[in-house]
Amino acid sequence: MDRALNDEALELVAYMVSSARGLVDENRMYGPLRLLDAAGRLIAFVDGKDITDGFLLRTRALIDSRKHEAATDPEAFVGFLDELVLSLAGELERRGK
Amino acid sequence: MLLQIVEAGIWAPNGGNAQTWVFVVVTEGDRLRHIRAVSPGILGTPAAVVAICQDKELAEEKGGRLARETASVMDSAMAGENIMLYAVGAGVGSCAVLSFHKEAVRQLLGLPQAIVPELLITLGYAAEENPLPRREFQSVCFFEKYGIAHGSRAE
Repeated sequence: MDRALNDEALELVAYMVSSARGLVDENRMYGPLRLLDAAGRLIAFVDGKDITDGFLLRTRALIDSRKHEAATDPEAFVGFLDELVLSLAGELERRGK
Repeated sequence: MLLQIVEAGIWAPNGGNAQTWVFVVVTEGDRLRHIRAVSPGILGTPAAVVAICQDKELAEEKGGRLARETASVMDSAMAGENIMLYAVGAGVGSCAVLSFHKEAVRQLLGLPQAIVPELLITLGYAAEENPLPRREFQSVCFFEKYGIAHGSRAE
């Protein structure tokens, strides 16, 4: 792995660990938000490197466009999480065939 | 523009005119990414981050424990509000962030022990507007006594 890639990985790990620490004292809805944001950042991390995956890129775009609902409309946010899980399950199934 | 936005912070009201705040503006690529890495509350990729910090020793000296523990925190919030209002007037988006690891930010910014980062303000051009819902004004504002809405008679 080159230096830039290592640095990017380190930043992602720092984000996840900082989130873990912060969540001890934060609103419980921030847990799902941070995990979802981490998923988006993970997709950004792999994008254009060894992996370029249209489904994942579309998933990331969806995450970026709707993650704010954790603060604006928690009910819609939870609904979005359900939709996303089903979409991912469908993609897993499709690829497993 | 950035300097003017941040300077708006020093004109904020503050307890006893103590002005114990310190502003650290981060715009440089690596440092900005590192601050973002330890600040989960930064959801986007801002062009700049302003760390509003407080000199806690100076606060104690000027206003005792009340200033150190409470007023300095409020002063940071008011400075942040000034910065954000100036920014929006200048067409720049902003967000106040409290979800960050204070010690990690202190380390990355090279802050002395007495200088505590209280609030981060992110600045940049927003990709989209996401207005947050507001509680009904009448449910949070009362007149003369708690529970009495504007226009209704006091018992």
